[in-house]
Amino acid sequence: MIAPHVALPLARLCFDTAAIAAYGISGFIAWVAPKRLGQAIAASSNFLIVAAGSLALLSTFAWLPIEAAVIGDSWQSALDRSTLSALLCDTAMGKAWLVRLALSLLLAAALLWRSTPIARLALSGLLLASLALTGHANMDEGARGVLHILNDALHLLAAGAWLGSLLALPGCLARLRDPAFCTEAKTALRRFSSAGHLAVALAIATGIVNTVLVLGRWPTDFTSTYQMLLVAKIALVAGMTGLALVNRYIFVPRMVTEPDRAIIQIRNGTYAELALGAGVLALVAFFGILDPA
Amino acid sequence: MKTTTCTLALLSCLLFDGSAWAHAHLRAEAPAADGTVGTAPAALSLTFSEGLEIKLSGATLKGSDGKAVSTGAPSLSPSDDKLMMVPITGQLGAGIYTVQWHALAKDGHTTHGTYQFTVGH
Repeated sequence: MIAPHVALPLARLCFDTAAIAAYGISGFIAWVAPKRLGQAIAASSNFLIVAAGSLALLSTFAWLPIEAAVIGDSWQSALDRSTLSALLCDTAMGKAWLVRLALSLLLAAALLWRSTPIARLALSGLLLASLALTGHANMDEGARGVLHILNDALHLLAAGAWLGSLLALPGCLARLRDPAFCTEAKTALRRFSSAGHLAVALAIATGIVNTVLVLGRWPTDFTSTYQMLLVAKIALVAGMTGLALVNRYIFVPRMVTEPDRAIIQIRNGTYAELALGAGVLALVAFFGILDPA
Repeated sequence: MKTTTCTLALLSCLLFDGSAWAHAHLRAEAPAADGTVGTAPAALSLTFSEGLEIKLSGATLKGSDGKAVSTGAPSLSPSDDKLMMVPITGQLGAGIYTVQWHALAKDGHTTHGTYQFTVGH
């Protein structure tokens, strides 16, 4: 049996991945793809988005008993009534969990019934942003506290839009060679590029503010595991930014002269970016619960 | 220009004040760690770096024989959510005592630790 303090980051990783996938794919369908292409991508990514919604709900359910086990430092506390009721009724985390539970139930309902892409985007976006209600964003008081939570929510939404929408990009690229969708797919790529610049810039800017707010310094003290892993995350994000720039400014212009080769290169670049993004999520799930000092 | 400088100065104060740390660290305690008190204290007071969730924070007190000294329910100071007070309801004779504390910070992170103090000479 794994220890509670190992199960907690795993549950966080499941939740973060699921919420970002549901949010990013919904965002691509609702805002980036023109209508017909959006419907086609929605149909082919239906399994992925339903799986993401289910995983978000399951990991939300699991979080409360795992947190109780971490607090009691044993799995017996996971179902201990007094710990669970104190956690739920008397802590800020418990209230945040109820918000998250309500949102993940609504998202699951929206995914099972026919709902508009906008409704799915709004619910998954709120679910992702609700992560800012717990954790290091809540360490401050007063105006600085509000600023910290808002900045963290914006960071989650911008970074989630960047990483999550990459999941829908291969489906869009494949349709560039399909005469029925070619025009719409080109429009989608143009919009993706503009929105992508904004999302990447916002994710990096809010990430810097978050670092400064949590640490009060630059992460240069490598005797702190938190700071070491934060630097590893920054390196992965730098890699993702580099791949995004190569995709946009080297491979996309190649589409005029060598479209077949360019599409494969953009697709591979997207997969590489997703792989680095998975590493970022794993790091965040782990060091987000460590002591920054 | 002046406004920009002021804003920057204000922002840097807000961002780099360095007083806030996530996770509740024990900053001060009475009786003091490794200290000696002449008379048995009526309560333990522990001051942390962060606000606490009191329902899931607390401390136990043990004598050098390993026997637990009974304590009342921990409470927060009404004016300071970083100050936890644990009333001591059991008898405290002369000797060395160990305090084992656990804290759940408002931001949801747990910390724990121990320290000792001596009652008597």
